[in-house]
Amino acid sequence: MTFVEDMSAFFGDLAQAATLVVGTSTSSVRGYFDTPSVAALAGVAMVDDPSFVLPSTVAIRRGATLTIDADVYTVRAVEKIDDGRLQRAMLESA
Amino acid sequence: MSSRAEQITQAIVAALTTPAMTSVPAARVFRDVDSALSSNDWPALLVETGDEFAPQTVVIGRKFRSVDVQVTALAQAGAGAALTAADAAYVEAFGRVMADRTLGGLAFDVLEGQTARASEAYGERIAAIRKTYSIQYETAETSLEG
Repeated sequence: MTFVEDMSAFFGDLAQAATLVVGTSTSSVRGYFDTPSVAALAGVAMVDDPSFVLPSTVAIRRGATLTIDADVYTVRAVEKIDDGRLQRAMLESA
Repeated sequence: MSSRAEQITQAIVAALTTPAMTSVPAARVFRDVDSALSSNDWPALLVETGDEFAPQTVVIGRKFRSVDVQVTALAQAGAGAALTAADAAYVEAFGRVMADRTLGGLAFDVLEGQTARASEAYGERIAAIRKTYSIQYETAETSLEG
């Protein structure tokens, strides 16, 4: 069980603005960008693993385009976080 | 003097770097890498000495031996193309190793082992194609060197 949350409070001034393109629809969204390094291919390679956390009310899907700080990414997967009111878009360089 | 297995691995590295390959610069052919490579290092080839099997005495005074050597082609490309990018280095490396199956007289044959492919997507798409070669050679019964 969770409290009723006002997600807009989490995605105000501290969140990062981004431009989301889904199909022919373009919108401005706010979220939290991270790009830690992770070990891949059984430790042979070290790669960046960028992602963008945003409210699940935002319609985003695989294949969408996100522009963050002038860097363009393609959404390769979307996963829900915790109670499902947040989602994480897994990104790759476009 | 180093073991014949070590000499064989060095000979394979030499075959992959001299002259430099088209698909992978000589500086990106790495030997026994013990830490992860980053995008500055790709495309790359990783050469690793594998296991040696128990030797067999085929004639008095000589031992038949084999050592596995793995050569991994590593590359990055856009969606759906990373394995294709690695394939170029895989094919060229195979040609280099098989061009002289005695490895300059160190072995009497190079046998093909398995090929393993893997690809993963993160901020970049990366892929690896690992080829195992079984190098057949012989030494004196009481020597690992030759």
